[in-house]
Amino acid sequence: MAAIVSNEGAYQEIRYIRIPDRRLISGLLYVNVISHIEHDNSDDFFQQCFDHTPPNGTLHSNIFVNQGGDQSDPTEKGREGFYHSFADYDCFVFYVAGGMTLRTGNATPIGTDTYDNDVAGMVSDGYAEDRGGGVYSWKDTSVEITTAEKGGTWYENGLHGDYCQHFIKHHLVSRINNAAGHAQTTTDEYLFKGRPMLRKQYRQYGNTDGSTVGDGDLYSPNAPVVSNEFILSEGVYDHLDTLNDDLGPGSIVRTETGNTNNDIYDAGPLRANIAPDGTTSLDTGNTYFSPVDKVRIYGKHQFTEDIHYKNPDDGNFVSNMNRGVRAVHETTFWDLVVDVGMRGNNPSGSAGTHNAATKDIIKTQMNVAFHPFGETADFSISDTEHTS
Amino acid sequence: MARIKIGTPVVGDIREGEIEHRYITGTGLVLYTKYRNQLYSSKMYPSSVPPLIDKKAKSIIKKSSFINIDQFTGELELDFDALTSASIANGDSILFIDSSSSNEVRKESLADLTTLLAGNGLDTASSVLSVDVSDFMTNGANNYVITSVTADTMNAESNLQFTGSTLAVTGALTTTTTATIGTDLTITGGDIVYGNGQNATVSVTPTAHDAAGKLLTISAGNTTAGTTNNIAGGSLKFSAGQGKGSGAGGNIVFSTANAGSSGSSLNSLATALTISDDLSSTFAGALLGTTIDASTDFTIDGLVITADTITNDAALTVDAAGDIILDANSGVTKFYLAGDTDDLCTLTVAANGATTIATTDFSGITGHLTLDADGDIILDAAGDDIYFKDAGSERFRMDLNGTPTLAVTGAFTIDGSATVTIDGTTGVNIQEGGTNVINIDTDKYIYFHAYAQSLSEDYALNNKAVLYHFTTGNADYKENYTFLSYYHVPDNTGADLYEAYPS
Repeated sequence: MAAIVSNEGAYQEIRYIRIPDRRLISGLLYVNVISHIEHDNSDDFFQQCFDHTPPNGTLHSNIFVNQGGDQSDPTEKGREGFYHSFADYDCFVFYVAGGMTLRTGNATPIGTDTYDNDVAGMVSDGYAEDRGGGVYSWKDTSVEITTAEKGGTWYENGLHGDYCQHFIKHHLVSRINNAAGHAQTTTDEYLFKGRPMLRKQYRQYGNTDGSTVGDGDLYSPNAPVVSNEFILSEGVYDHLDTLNDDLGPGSIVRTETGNTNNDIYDAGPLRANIAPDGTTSLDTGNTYFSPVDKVRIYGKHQFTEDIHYKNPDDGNFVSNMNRGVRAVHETTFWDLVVDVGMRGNNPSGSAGTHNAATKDIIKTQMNVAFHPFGETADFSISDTEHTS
Repeated sequence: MARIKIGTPVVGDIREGEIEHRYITGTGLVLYTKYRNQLYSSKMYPSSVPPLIDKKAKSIIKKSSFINIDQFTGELELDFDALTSASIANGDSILFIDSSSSNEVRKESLADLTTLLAGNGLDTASSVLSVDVSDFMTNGANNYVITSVTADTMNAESNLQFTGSTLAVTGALTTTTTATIGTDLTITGGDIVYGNGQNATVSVTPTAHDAAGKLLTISAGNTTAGTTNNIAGGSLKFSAGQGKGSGAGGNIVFSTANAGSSGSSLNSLATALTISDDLSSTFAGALLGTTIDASTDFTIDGLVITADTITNDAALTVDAAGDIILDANSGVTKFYLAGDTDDLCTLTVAANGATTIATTDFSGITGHLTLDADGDIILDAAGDDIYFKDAGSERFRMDLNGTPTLAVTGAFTIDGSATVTIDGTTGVNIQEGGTNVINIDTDKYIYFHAYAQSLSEDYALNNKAVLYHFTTGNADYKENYTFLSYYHVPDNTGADLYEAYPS
């Protein structure tokens, strides 16, 4: 079930994988996303947008809004008829490790006013209503307050804590798409064909003073160096064999017209400008894009406080994790959340940044595989958070 | 006057042709003549007295047809035959010689004559004599048969009457020789007793040489039809002679003469049934009939047939040239072991021939049923299905239609002590809920969950799965390796939306 987010031009596709408490697992997580409709005979998305009128206007989120002039020059396209919608893919492989430790009980808010077996006080302060005859109801829901709720301790404007935490980490082993390699022009803004994924590494290097003492010592005194990489795409593209022979038209697009008609790229100059990542170095040559905006991987368990407002607008509330009928604290399992955010579109939005995405920018197909190894085989996949 | 000799002469006393008178005492005067050396005799009678004529009274005798005077001899002849005929009647008289009056001829009335003649058994009235048997016969009555009481008296027997067609005897009827009854013999009494001087026989007289013998029927008494309901008939009882002490009683023997080869000799009688003094019955031949009823049992050597039981002290063979039919009204045929009625086998036939073979173990569930064939065991169900049940709950159902199926209710385990082989010539399928879960094709490839992609080259294992592909491991916390996956395409409904491709 996809969800709409407002702070990213992304359209979320989330899966919840139910895992028992305190099971250490690790494994590779593959995410393959492609943008097209049932592998139809369409050009890549940009070419398609250039040649045709996109639905809902051209405003497909801000990342596509600031297209430079070269992007509007039809002579700089010329991929029509290539049917390279297939190239609009984005593939990831993550190494996911960890788990989640859960513990019963919760921590009460500190330093807040409380209503301890004091429903009259909550009535007096506007959180509850006296319906007469010893019957009370919550102000916000009009639901009758149970005896247990009446006898419990409610904390005003304070949230409970718990002792549970996820220790899921993931490492982007690789990402491959065709969106990289688009050069920046000097006058035009970037064409954001893809957002980078963070890859963080903690490395401890040899001595910085040039000595070799301690080299190879596992207990090097040097502090680790943290490096952050933002991965748009990896992977190489072979258009030559091991003898440097051109693979030729058997593997690379080619028209063989030999003319200079810019509406169709000839394979020759295209190959001549192919970068090691497989994309062309021509500024206008690569119009592929990445359908994935960002991937998030984390652990989550159910911890829901029973909160009642006197007036939602003023933000004051009372909470209870022990007696509130709506309070939930699940301590036997947790969910590994795989949140794949696709490029979204807000056709009615403004040209500002981070417009809310109400639609997937184009119909995507997503295949996700997770190969966990470790202390459990008890998994359950759901579109929604597991409640049991 | 010649002398008359006395006594009967002999032949020599008289000469040939001469005559001689002799006086024979008691006979009188007899004249003898010898002719050809044979004596001939003639009794002599005194000559009649010539009529006395009273010359004074009447000198002339009137001559008539009755009276005639021989002119030569002067004898008076009386011709009674010439008298005029008249009917004699009471009051008439007759002439007689009255010895009491010097033999004078006197007349006498007929009434006096009949009175003189009347006596015991002979009555007279008006010159008529009548026989009066009552004078020497007692108890006279109509139809009574007269028997002699003494030499002079008789008795009319009230116990012996003859109506002209029926002779009725009241009392015993005894004959010393054969009594022949012309038609039927009806005995109102209850007994026929034969003499003990010989064996007795009840038989039908043989018919002619060319006629079949006649039937002899012995019947007990019927009741009379009509009017009253529900009246029993009489029994027919045969009793053999009684013995004494250790002496055996007689047998009742039934004999018949079986047909022999063609011929005119009588076939020999042979004993068909002997009912012995020990109450046993021995049939020399077959025992036939629609109903054979014994109050307790039939016993054949060690075989005892009672009203509801056939027992035998040895093996029992039922050998029929045709079918052997067991027809129980309840449809239930039971098989016991040594009289144990709690642990048994039943064969139950219900409507439409539905049949159940069941065993009952009174105290447990070890009443096993074993089919042990030296050859094959063939189950042929025209209804397609063969069921295997556990205490009435279906477990297996073998559907025998054109695509046979073994349908199992409940968890199913194939537990072999050696290799278990499932061998299909055109593939092997393992299904769940009618859907292929495991398929092995003719190329020996294995397909899980109806994996049906058309691959250029199939794999040894091919699995179709959504979300959960594979897991392997040792235990919780140990060596778990799992393949998970999911796939998503927005369907453009609800919140799951996407922009259409520019086109």
